[in-house]
Amino acid sequence: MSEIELLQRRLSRERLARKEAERLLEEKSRALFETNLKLQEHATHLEAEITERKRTEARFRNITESLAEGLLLVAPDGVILYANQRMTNLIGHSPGELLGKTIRDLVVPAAEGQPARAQFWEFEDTGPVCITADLELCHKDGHRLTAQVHAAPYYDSSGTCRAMIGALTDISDRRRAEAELVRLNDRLVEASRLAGMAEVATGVLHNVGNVLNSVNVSSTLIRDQLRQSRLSHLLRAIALLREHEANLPDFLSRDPRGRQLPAFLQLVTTHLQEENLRLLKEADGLDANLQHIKHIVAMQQSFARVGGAEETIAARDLLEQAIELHTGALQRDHIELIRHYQAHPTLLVDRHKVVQILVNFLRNARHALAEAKVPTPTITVLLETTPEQTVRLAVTDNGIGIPTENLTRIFSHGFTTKRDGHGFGLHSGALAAREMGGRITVASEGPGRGATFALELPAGAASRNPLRPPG
Amino acid sequence: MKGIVFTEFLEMVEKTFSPETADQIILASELPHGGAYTAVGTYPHAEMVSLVVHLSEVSATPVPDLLRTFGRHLFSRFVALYPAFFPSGMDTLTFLAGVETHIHAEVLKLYPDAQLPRFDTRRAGEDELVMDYRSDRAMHDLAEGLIHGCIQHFGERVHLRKEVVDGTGGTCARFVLRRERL
Repeated sequence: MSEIELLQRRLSRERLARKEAERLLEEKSRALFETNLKLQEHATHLEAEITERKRTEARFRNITESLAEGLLLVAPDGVILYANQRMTNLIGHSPGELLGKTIRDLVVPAAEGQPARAQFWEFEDTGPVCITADLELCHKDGHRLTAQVHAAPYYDSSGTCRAMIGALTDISDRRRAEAELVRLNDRLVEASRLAGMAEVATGVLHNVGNVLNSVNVSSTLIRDQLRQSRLSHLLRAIALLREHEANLPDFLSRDPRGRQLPAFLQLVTTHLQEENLRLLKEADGLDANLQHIKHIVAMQQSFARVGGAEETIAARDLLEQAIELHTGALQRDHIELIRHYQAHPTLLVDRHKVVQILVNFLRNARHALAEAKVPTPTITVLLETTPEQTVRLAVTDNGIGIPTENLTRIFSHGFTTKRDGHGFGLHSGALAAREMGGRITVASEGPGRGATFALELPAGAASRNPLRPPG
Repeated sequence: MKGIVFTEFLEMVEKTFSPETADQIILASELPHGGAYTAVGTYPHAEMVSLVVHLSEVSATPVPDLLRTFGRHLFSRFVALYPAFFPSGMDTLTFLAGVETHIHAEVLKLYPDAQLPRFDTRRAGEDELVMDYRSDRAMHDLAEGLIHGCIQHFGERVHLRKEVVDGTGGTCARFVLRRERL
């Protein structure tokens, strides 16, 4: 092998190697060019993204700085990472001063009796959770304030919670206003209680006043009866007998006055017996009215406290008791009373509440008839059970009737069409009916067409099956 | 295998033996491209084996000796060509401990298709390093030569022991380096 041949082969290999290197270089250059293009494109995208991010950041910063709430970003260990300017107004420290502090540095210490509820900022133990809490904070100048905090976990793009973000609102003024509201409410409750007591007093006066009318009538009747008593005739007969005491047999047998005396005494006795019966009857009525007054007082007191004792009683008896209290008045006013007892149910109720309502129905009917001056004043009392298994006690009159517009207001406290009325009877009746699980209804076809007031109560157990209230 | 290994091998043959010897083993290997290697190319590993085997025949030198010699040469070339990888203040064990994570990582950035041996390293003390070599090419002798070249470059006295794992056909070997303090 000659040296020339060797050199030729080496040169040939070098040429081939150079061509291969050039090919590879060109290939790499092309790849680099393409990579460069991609990098440029990527750089353009990055630049646009950076611009957008800067814009977003500026927008976000504008939003956070214009918020009415203080904003804090707090690391898991409680260290403040970010605070907006509003925090300065809230707590006195500038955002720069707040960075690096912990939330505990701002909270009133628990040792001073304030709730230290800052631990939610340090969620290593409990994990991040959304929390709304009130914090007692220390302002830089030393005064305290109450801030409401809405805190929520702040997650990064990988879903890991990196911090808590909290919005703080100064609610010190609201807290003071709430305390004032509580105080005013207490006063309102007290005023309401006093008003209730006044209402009870009004009710007592109204109902007692009504019964006192009957008491007054009864006492007048008793007084008149006593004034017109035949007792004086008896006294005169006794005086005559004493005058002839010495010759009493002769006087009784021969004297014309003496001979008439036995018949006279018989007549006087008969009169006195009749008088006694009338007085007894009136006294019974008086006693019943007095008992009713007693129950009215007790019942009205029960409005202010608790309900009276319930008892099972025939509905008919309740109606009769109410009618009894009006018997004298009905006779005086020449009112015909018609009873339609179509059923004989029992009720589990407070007797006096029901009687009071029925007494009011009857009294209103009497007044309506008195105003109407109809030739045949009539009150019809109805007792029936309804398809809904309620007991209906109704009082219907053919009196002056009720205008339609008044039908909806008639149970309101203070509403009355009577010159001397108080607007309390039906109102308290409606309340009592509701208390017993029942209701009061009214119906009238208009002025001059009479009216019907009805009390509906659950049959048997009153309070266990409440009815819908009127209206 | 990267072209630089071929170009540096032939360079070493020409310098250590002669240009004729290099030409001779190229011709004997009957290479498809006639031995026209370029450092930035990539060539079959079998061509390197053929070249080394023929050099062993021509020079009557065992293949392992040739590979170790080539390893020392190759390391010195790496130092000359890529000085950034050999900063001042570096030492043998630190450099070798970072071969897999540092050097090979950089090579793969440039040549993603490069098939590199794997070195798992463990410091058994401040002055001891264990390197576990794994490669299908079973060229642990070349690796040994490179490690010797490294020791020589940093000028330290480091004792190297190689243990070829039995039954692996030379694809796995352990190098234990123990540095002697001067």
